[in-house]
Amino acid sequence: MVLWDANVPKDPDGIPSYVHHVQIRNIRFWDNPAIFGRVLKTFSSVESLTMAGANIPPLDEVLGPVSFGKFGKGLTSLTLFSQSCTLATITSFILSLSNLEELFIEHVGTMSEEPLSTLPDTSRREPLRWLVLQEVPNALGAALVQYRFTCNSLDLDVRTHAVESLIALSSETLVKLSLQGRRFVCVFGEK
Amino acid sequence: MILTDPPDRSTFTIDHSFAIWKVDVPLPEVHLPPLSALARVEIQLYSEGISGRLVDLLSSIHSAPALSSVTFTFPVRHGASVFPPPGPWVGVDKWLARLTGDRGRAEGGLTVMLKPWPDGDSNWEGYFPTFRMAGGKLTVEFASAPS
Repeated sequence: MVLWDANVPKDPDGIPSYVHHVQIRNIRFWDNPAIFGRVLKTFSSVESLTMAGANIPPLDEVLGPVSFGKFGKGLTSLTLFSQSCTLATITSFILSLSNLEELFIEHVGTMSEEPLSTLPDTSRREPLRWLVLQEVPNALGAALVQYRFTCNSLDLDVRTHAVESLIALSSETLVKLSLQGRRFVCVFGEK
Repeated sequence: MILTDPPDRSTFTIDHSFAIWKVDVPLPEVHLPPLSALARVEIQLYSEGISGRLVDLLSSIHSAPALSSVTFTFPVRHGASVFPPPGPWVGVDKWLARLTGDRGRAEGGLTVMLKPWPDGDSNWEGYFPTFRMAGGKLTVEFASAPS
């Protein structure tokens, strides 16, 4: 990432446009949060982004005032795995991706539940093709309900606080529902 | 007396004078709106039992006229011969039977697929008697353990 970032300013138009997937791993704290914004701005061909053990930096630090709906236009798939950033940061980022079709959120730690700032009305957003929530804090499920996310396929850990509300919101669009019970280690094979 | 609300909301724990009882408390029934497009439900369990929470959630689905397939993937202990275990599975059986009997159900009816893992010789005929009496179809296919 650092090597890539060092080269971008020299030749910003030289970034190949065939990059469709970006994966950012194991960056809990960003020395230079602007790198994150430059990745998404520079690779206009990026369709999917995975953040695994890497926190989303606060968007105001990344981009300045965010113009919702005009950021990350090409991104249709977002995976957030093992996040520990604030609720406002994570929801602001999701809401900024106006063409999102797939949203996978797994293993998100307890997050601060500071009040969300006023964000745009998302009730007219197209249904997500696929929404996965596994082991996420209650506040995150509630936020997705608050912003009226609907979907065609829903994959939920039954401990998710807002399960019924998420299903109800998608009552007209939901085609496939996957539910997972509590996961723990099982021992088999003893005769 | 301390009253706490544990993760399984159908059970409250009452702690009084160093003694602990678990008391099942009936919950208000939740009705989800009709799920008009829902065609498939897949349930992944990591133990033989099914939680009251999951049964409550499934039971809150009162109308799903397009639903044609419900799949349960779950582990079984080697040599288990009496199945299903009593308890919450009975609630699932009733829920499946209710959906099967829905007027307006699409032709082809409702099929339940059991996907136990790793394998076993359980008596699958004991599964969901009410559902099968209502005309539901039951199939079994052994599965691999989920990753």
